[in-house]
Amino acid sequence: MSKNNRLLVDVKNNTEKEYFFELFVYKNTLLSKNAINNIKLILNKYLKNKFQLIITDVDKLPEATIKEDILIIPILIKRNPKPEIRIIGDFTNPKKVLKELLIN
Amino acid sequence: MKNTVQKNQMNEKLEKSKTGIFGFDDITFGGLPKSRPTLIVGGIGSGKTFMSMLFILNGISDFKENGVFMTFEERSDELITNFSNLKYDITDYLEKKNLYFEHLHIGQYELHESGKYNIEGLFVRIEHAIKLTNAKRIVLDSLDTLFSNLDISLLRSEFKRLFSWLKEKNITAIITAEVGDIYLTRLGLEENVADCVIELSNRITNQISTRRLRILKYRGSYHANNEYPFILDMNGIYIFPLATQSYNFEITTDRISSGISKLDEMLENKGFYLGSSILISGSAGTGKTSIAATFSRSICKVNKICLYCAFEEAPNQILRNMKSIGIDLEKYTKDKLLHFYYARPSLQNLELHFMGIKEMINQINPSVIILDPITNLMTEGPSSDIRSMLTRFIDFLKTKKITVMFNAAITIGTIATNPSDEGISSMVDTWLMLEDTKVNNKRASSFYVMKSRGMNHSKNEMIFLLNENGVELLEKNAIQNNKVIKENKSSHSIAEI
Repeated sequence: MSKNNRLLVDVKNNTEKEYFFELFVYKNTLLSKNAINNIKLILNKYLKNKFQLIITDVDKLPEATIKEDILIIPILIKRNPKPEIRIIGDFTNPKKVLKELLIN
Repeated sequence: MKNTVQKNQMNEKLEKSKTGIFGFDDITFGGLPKSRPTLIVGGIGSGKTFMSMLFILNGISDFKENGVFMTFEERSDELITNFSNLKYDITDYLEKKNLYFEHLHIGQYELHESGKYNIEGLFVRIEHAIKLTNAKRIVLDSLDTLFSNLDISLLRSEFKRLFSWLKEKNITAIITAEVGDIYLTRLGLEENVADCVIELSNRITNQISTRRLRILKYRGSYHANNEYPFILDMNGIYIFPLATQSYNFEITTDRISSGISKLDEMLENKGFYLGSSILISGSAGTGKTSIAATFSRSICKVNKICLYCAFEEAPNQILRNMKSIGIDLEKYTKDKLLHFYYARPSLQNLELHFMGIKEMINQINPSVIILDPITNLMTEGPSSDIRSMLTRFIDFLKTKKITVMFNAAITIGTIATNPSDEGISSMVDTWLMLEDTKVNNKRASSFYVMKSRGMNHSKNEMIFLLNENGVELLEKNAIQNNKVIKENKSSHSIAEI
């Protein structure tokens, strides 16, 4: 219970960050954990204090899959700055992730 | 010992989920495997989407099973419009949550890959939809088109997981896929995962397309291996089961008069069997149409309905010509007892003809159908196709207890030189034959009952005459003795008809 909830506690109060990401995972699986840990490592290293990350467990919020047209999990959506970019996977390759997200 | 084993196997008989699609539940002995996935493969426009949609809609309207339809191809509003012509009130189903309809797409966003992923999002959406409607049936339409950019080996295992997950959900599923597409076939789902695999095809031979359905696999169930022609139109799908399987239709011993007293006499004094099929073959101008017209008249006389399908002469022409030999059919058309279906064979293909005829059958509910001449339809496609189509059509008529009379024109010579005609004759119950002959140096027709199943019919050769009083059959000897031939204008009338 508390473990699952932990996925959802990363909503920061500050919404005025330069970068805004949403990560969608399914339950507290190994894949979800890897994805969360890896993306946090990458963002904290390269965009420290410049980003906001919201993590959603689609098992708890199935409507999100419809709203966001999500079929593949885990998926990271970069909302800001534009253009919106979507990356699927557990982000094992930081360089590729940065390149796809257009972060230098 | 052996018996008990067999009995046990029989007890574990597979439960089936009826589709309500005409003919389909017959050829599968009850429908699709219940609570299991079925794969429907077929090319573009082969009818996969239509068929799966009917499965869902019939589930709601006829079997009290709610359904989920997830499509990966067409826009949902388009699909719903496509089905709005059918008997189903789709808007109502959607409002009452009997039906859940969703269009899934992935192409809208470019997806970048980094590391491992799965299609759990799809699972979540399916689960959500099932819960919302409490569905017992689900369709995933064109699953293979959805993930066409993703890694094949990953998809292979994910689809396997999806199929077994659907089984756990106790839901009867249809998954459609393009035939020959790299995905489902290369993934081998049809071999390992689906319990039932159906192939739909739309083949064109001699510029005529025929839709066909084949059951490639049905785990744990009997199924027929044949290819079944089927018709898809705005009203639904009609599959024609083989004769052997529809033999459970009621057989009647009731008789129906041919309208020619002498012919009734030859048929045990009673005429044809009700609901049987009758073939009249003969070369041009021997009087086939006049026999059919006489039969029609006798049906209308007793206030029963006759459907006359004319493939050669226009109805007006038939009415005029028949009037010249004293058969007035016009009044029956006015009384709405005699109906015409008229089409030049070249206008439509055979299945559309049968479709149109069926449509009329449903509207007017006839006791008798005349197809004049059936041989004109034969030019419309390869004869084996036509034969199987015709067999199925005859079966359809038998289930409705409709008596059918075919005319077959033979260009020259006898039946032996016309194999296509021979093909029809094996399907029919009664076969009447007209042959050119000469009586007192005048052209006339000799008439035989070649066969008539289930009765002791006369084997005599008769002379067939046409005069202003219609059709007349006479014993051969009688003619020669009485020289009746002089009195009637047979050669003249025959030539005209």
